[in-house]
Amino acid sequence: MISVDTSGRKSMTKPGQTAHVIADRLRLALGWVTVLTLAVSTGMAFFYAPTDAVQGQAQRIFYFHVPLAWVAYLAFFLVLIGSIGYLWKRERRWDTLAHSSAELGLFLTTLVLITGSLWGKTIWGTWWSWDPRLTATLVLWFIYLGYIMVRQFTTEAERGRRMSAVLGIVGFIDVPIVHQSVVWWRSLHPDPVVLNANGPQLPGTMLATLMVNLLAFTLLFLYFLLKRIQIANLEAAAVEQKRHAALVEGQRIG
Amino acid sequence: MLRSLRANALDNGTLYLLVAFVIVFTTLAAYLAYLSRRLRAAQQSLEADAGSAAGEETAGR
Repeated sequence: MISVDTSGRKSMTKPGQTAHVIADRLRLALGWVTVLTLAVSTGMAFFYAPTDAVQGQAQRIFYFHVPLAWVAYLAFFLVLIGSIGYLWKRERRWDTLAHSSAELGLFLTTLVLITGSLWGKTIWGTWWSWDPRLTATLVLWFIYLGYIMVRQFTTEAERGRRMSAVLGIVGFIDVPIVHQSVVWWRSLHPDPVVLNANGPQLPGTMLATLMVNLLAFTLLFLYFLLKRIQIANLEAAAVEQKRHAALVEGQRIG
Repeated sequence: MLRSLRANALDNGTLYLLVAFVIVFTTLAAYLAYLSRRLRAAQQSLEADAGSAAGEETAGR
């Protein structure tokens, strides 16, 4: 008997005895490791890292803001990989990777903009400034909003996948622009403190806190991504099953 | 952090830090809840379709 497992994959054995059980358990384990790492990283951000002498408590926003920006970059890099893979191979799994990453990247960039704005209000005294880094990040947000909208509003699914893949490749050009904007142009935004030409510009405790937060948010991103891909596979399997059922019904009537 | 909260009451920096923390983690929790609900719905839809397809196949025979 052919059955469809929780990942949407077809399997020749009974559900519950196949590799998807291991995959489900690994996903669950990843979820718990993520929760634990997030608890530690948040604790470090509030209680371990010293208070910044100039910025005060508001500097701690940095421990959420920077990891969110890092995972957003990672998400858009995966959109690039998935888009190239899809245009090259025309296999649905590449498109699933790109689409899932784009949705997550858009969500994370929204949080980057919100946390940055809260930090800006405290330190700069304004919620928003048309600074190169902020503007380039907003452009990035609109590019991936466009990516999602192209898929939603294209009547032919295959055409939507192709158009969004092109947008996913072209849109990635903005990621290095966002990152380098503080170096290339005069900007209010602080310079990179970790990927700095002169090495990390942070005291050890702050750097350690940032690194643990980077790990926690990367694990969280992977957990969300795997869950999002699982949903996409299940939804595709349901569509396939409906199509097959309609075909069987048509043959029976005919 | 706690010492500073007690000493300075709630200054602007601390307030915005707490707001950022609440926004980030409630949004992440909401997104997780959305994904879990969508996953459950997809699983149920697939199971229901598989059940009705099996029923139709039996009826067809």
